Amino acid sequence: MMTNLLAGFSLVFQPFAFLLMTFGVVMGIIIGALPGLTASMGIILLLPLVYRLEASIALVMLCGLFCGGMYGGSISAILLKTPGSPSASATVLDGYPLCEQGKAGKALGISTVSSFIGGLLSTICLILIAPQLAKVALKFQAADYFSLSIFGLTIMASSSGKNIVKGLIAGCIGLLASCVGIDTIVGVNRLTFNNMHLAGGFTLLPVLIGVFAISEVLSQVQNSLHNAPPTIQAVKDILPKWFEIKGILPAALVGGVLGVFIGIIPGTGGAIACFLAYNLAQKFSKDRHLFGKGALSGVAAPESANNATTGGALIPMLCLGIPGDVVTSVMLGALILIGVRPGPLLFVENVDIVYAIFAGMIVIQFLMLGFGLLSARYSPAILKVPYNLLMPIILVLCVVGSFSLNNSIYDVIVALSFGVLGFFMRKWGYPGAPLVLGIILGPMAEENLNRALLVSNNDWMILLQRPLSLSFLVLAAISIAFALFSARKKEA
Amino acid sequence: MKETKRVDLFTGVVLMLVSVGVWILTAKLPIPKRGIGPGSYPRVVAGMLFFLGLILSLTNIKGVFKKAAEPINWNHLGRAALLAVMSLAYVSLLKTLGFPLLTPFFLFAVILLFGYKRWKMAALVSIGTTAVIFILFNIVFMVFLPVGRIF
Repeated sequence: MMTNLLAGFSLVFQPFAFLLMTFGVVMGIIIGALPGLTASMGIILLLPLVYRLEASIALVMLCGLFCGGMYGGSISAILLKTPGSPSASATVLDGYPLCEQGKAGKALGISTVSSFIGGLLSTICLILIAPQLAKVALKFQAADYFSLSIFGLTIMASSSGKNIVKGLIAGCIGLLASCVGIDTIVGVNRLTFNNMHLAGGFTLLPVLIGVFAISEVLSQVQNSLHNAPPTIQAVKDILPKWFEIKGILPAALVGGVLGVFIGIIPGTGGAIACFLAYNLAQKFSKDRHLFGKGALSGVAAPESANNATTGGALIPMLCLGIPGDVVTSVMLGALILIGVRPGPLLFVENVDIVYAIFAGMIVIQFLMLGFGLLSARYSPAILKVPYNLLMPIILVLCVVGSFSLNNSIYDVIVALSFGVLGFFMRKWGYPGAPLVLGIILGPMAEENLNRALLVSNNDWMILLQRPLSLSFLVLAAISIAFALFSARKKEA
Repeated sequence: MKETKRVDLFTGVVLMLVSVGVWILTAKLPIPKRGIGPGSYPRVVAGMLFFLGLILSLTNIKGVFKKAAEPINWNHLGRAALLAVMSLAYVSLLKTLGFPLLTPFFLFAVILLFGYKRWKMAALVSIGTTAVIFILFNIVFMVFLPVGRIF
C-alpha cells in the first residue's frame, strides 16, 4: 500500500497535476461560496477540460473541486446567512451569529480548520476502507450487483426528498430514460420512435448538465429581478488561536467520524451529516447554552462533518460504482467519460488511478486549509459577483460543454430537455439525484438481472438465495419502510 | 398548497399515461427463452411508475375538487419559459449562424432577461465571454465550435 501511495504522491506533485489540483480547490471554494452554485455544477462546467486530461490528473482536479466546494458553502453561510450549498445549512446556526458579533473572521477560520480535520479524517478512512471493500466486492456476482443497484436506488429515493413517492418516481423516470436506445441484451431498438439519435440512448453527461446546471439557471431567472447586492462586513482575525482549536477539537472529531459514515451510505451526504453532527456536538458540549448564539463548536461540528462526507462518498463510488451523493454521481459520469469504469476492478486494473486519488485527497486537504485561510479576507468580494451576469455565462458554458462531448447538437438538445424537466421537478418537489442514479444504475440492474437469470435458468429465487443479494434487498426494503415511517411521523 | 396538490394529481395521471405508453411500445419486443427480454425490464419499470403515479393521484385527489380551486399561476413561469425557448432557438440556429456570431446576441438578451440594467457592460461581457470561450475551446481544448454556414 505504501509503495502505491508514494507513487500516487509522485503523480500529484508533478507540476501540471499539482496546478490543476490547486485550480480545482480554488474553483471549488469560489463555486461553493456562491449560493445556487454547487460542486456538481462546477464539475459540469469543467467537463470539456476533464476529458482532455489524463484520468488520474482529471480525477484529482475533480476531487479538489469536490472538497473545495464542500468547504466553500460555509463562507456564504457565515457571511450572508445563506448556505452556499445544502451541506452548509447547519453552519448558519452559529456562523451567522458570530458574524453579527463582528467575529466573521474567527468563524471562517474555525470553519476552515474543521473542514481540514474532517477532510483529513475521511481521507484516512477512504484509504483504509476502500481497498478492503473492493476486495469483498470482487466476489460479487450478477444477482448481488442487481440487488445492490436496487438498494442504491431505494436509499437515494427515500433519503433525498421530503416525499418518498416523488423520490421513487424520479428514480423510475431515470430507469425508463436508461431504457431508451439499442438494448444491450438482444440489440433491438427500444423506445426510440425510429429516431436515429435516440437509438444511441441518453448520454449521461448531457443529462447531468440539464438536471443540475440548466435547471438551476432556469430557476434563477425567476428570482433574478429581486436580487439586491448583499451587504457584507469586513473579515479580520481569521487565524484561530491554539486554545480555540483545542476547544473545538472534540466537536470536529465527532463531526468528522459521523460524516465519514454518513458519506458512505449512498444517497445521504453533507446536508444530513451537518445537522446530525451539530445536534451531537450540542448534546455533548459543556457550553451547549451557547449553541445557536455563536458557539465555535457549533461551526466546527457541521463543517467537519460535511467535509468528512467527501471521502466517505468516494468509497461506494470507487469500490462499487454507486455514487454516494449528487457530486459523486457527476464525478462518476466524468469518470465514464474519460474511460474509467469505477468498481472493484478499478482496484486491480487501475491501481495508479486509485492511489493518485488517495494521495491527491491528502494534499487537497492541506491546499484547502491554506487557501481557505488565505482567501477568507477576500471572500466578501466573491459574494458580490452579480448573478445576472454569471448565470447567462453558465448557460452558454452548459451549451458549449454538452456540445463538446460529441460535437453534436443532439446532446445540447438532450441537456436542454432535461434542464426543463429538472426545472419542473425542482419546482414541484421531485429530487434530481434519484433520476440521475436511475440512469446510472438502470443498465447495471438490467444487465445483471439478465445475467443472474441466465445462470439460474430463469430461477428468480437466485436473488434470495445468495446471502449478499438477500442482504441488499432486505436493506432496500428497510430503507423504504424507514422513510415511510419517518414521513408518517412527520405528518402526525 | 392547493396548486401543488392539483399539479401532483395531474402529474400522477400523466405518469400513468406514460407508463401505459411504454407498456404498449414494448409489447412487440422479442422474448428470449432464458433471461429477461428487451421489453421485460422497461415494462417492470413502467408498472412501478404506474403504481407510483396512482398513489400520487389518489393521495392528492382529496380536497382538490371540493371548492372552486385557484387556477395554476403560470405567470411566474413566464421568464423561465422564455429563457428555455430562447435557448432552444439559439441551439437550433447554432450550426447555421455559428457560435461567434450568434452567442454575443444570445448572451446579451439573456443578461437583460436576468434583469441586468447596464447595457454597455452587458454588451461588453457578451462579446468578451464569447471571444474567451471560442478561443479557449478552439485552441486549448481543440473542440471546434460551429462557425456557421452563411459565411
